[in-house]
Amino acid sequence: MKLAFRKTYLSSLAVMALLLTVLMAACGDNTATTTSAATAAATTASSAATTAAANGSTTTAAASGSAAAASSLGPIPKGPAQINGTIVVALNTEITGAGSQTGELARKAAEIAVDKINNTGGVNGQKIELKVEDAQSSNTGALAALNKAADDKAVAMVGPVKSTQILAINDRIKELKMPALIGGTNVTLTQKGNEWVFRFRPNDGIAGNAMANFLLNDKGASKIGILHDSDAFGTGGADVVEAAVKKAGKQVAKREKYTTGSQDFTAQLLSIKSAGADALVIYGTNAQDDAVILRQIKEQGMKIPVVGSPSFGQTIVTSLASDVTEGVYVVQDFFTGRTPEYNEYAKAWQTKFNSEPDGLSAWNWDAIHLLSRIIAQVGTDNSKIREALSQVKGYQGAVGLFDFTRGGDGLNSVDVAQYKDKKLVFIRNVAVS
Amino acid sequence: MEEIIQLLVSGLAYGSIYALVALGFVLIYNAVGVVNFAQGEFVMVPSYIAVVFLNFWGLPFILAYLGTILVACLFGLLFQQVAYYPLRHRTYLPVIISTIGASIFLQNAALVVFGAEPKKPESIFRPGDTFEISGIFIVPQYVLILVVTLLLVAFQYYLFERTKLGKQLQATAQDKTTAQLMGIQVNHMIIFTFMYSAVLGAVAGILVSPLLLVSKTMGGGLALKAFSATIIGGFGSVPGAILGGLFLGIAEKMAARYISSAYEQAFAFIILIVVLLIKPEGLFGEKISEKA
Repeated sequence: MKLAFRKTYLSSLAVMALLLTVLMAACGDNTATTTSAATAAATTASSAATTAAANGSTTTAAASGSAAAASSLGPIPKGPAQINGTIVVALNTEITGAGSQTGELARKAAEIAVDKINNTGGVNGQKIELKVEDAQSSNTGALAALNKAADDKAVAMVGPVKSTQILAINDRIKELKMPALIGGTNVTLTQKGNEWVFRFRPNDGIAGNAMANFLLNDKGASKIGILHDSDAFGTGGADVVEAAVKKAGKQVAKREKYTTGSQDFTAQLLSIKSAGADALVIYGTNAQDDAVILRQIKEQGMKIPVVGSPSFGQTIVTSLASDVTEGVYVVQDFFTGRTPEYNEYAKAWQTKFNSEPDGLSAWNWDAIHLLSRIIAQVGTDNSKIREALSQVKGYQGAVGLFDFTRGGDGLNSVDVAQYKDKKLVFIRNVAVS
Repeated sequence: MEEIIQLLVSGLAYGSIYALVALGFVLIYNAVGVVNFAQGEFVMVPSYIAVVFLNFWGLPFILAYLGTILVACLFGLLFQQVAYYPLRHRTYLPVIISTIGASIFLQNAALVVFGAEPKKPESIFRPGDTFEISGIFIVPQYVLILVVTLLLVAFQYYLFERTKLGKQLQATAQDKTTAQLMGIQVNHMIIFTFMYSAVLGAVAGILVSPLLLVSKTMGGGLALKAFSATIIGGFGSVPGAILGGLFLGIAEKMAARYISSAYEQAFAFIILIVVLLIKPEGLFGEKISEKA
């Protein structure tokens, strides 16, 4: 009896360990599902992209290996950019695999842009042909898609949107001299000395700077509390905020973190409260956590201004925490519907697909429109396209005002919005120098 | 000082939830000698039922909660019939695997039926209902958790120590064969234990879901913490499960505030390891050799 009991007890413990593993796997799975399900709301993908970019350095090494292998097969011949009188533009996106939902939305955004251009006379009378190259939701897939784009004699490539994939194909872009109009938001992507890369979304560093500047300048805060997710995206964002606060000569009252999926934030909030913070920056990754945090801020009777990272703008937050969002500020890549250019995009989307337009994919529309305008001016030579892109200044797109004369980053501002009556309203555009 | 009291209140509230789930573990373990790895789903499934009653059907709170507890009873019964009963004459291992299987099945069923996005159940209190006593912010839901847990524990004490049913349950837990020889319907006692364990899970779910949101993985984390609580308190011991749960809840909050918030989720397991090293029989438990 005694022996049997011990045996049961010990093996129960062993199986518990097994279960722990299963649960961990299940949790990871859940996060992935939630993330992909929420792509309609802006910025989940940006966080996913950056989280993925945490693995960037290792994957780059692996992929440049395969890039070298690919190029050892000999350079891909450069032929005339036009086939059958059309101008080929490639879209490097995820049609299969884990990112297929995002990829599908990007394809739709690119398609309506191409339709719009072709239906209004094309580019100097020539039609644009969109070649969708499948990145298969992997780094090697993105590289294969880039090579395929070169085979298809594309004049330029739109995408990818995942930072890790862009890091992986960076060297090959340079080799092929393929203008790449990217959507990844990892700060370093445009700092790799690759003049062929042009970013069409605000990078991750901009949001953090804007959050700090907004609280310090607009809200008169001087002791800022920071609460952030301890993953790569949240930590990186909080680092930027902290640096910006210190640069402005103000202090960080307290910096606290939590693990994705934590259920109670009392300890962290109390700590920030007792440090005397007069404003709070929350750099969250997971919108479900954001909802719970906002609830507990209210429960703890904290009345200081709160500005949240882009995930706070997701619809999950409004559906789970609509009773506690009032007054909360959110930074967003851009405030949907603020520009007539965005409304035009939204209208085109609704007409063709009869569904809610995806704000996060709107940059694809901008990239293709700007590209067509440049090709109309300088033709299809890749060096001339690159040259012209780098001189773009003051182009108003659906997602913002582009200026590539500063470098590979076309945008340098984000929008601050605020929850009023359970809806986000535009407050102002915050530019970061 | 205010801060410590506030941390105590929140720690006790979460500790109560751990205690309820831990009780569910211990009762089933004592009755059938197997750890039920689907204990987290005993919280998750009734929480979704409550969401259906409250949000989809718009039932008043009292009806919805009673209904949830009723459904939880049926769920416990069904679980027993499907996951335990057919394997009752086998060793503990097939039963354990069977509960793991049930856990995976239930989580994925919840995903199919309710989707990946978590649900926010209607709750009695609004976030603005927090009341303040000299700088201490008391969340009414926490108070509700404490009161209900206290009542439930008192009820359970009465049930097990003062009623004939309780004696029969205890006899079954101690020695099935002898209990059967004494004319106790052992199978009925086991069915009852599963149902009662599901009710404990349902109460935990009803109490905690306004704080945590209802999702398919909500039970997993709670079950892990509760399992740690049973070991910290002394595995198999009913008072140990309750005290272990409360201790864990408070320790977690204090450690997150005064040591490091980044590792809040890890402290439960750090405490578990320390307890196993220093006092393997658990803080409040009897020595295993004495018990067996």
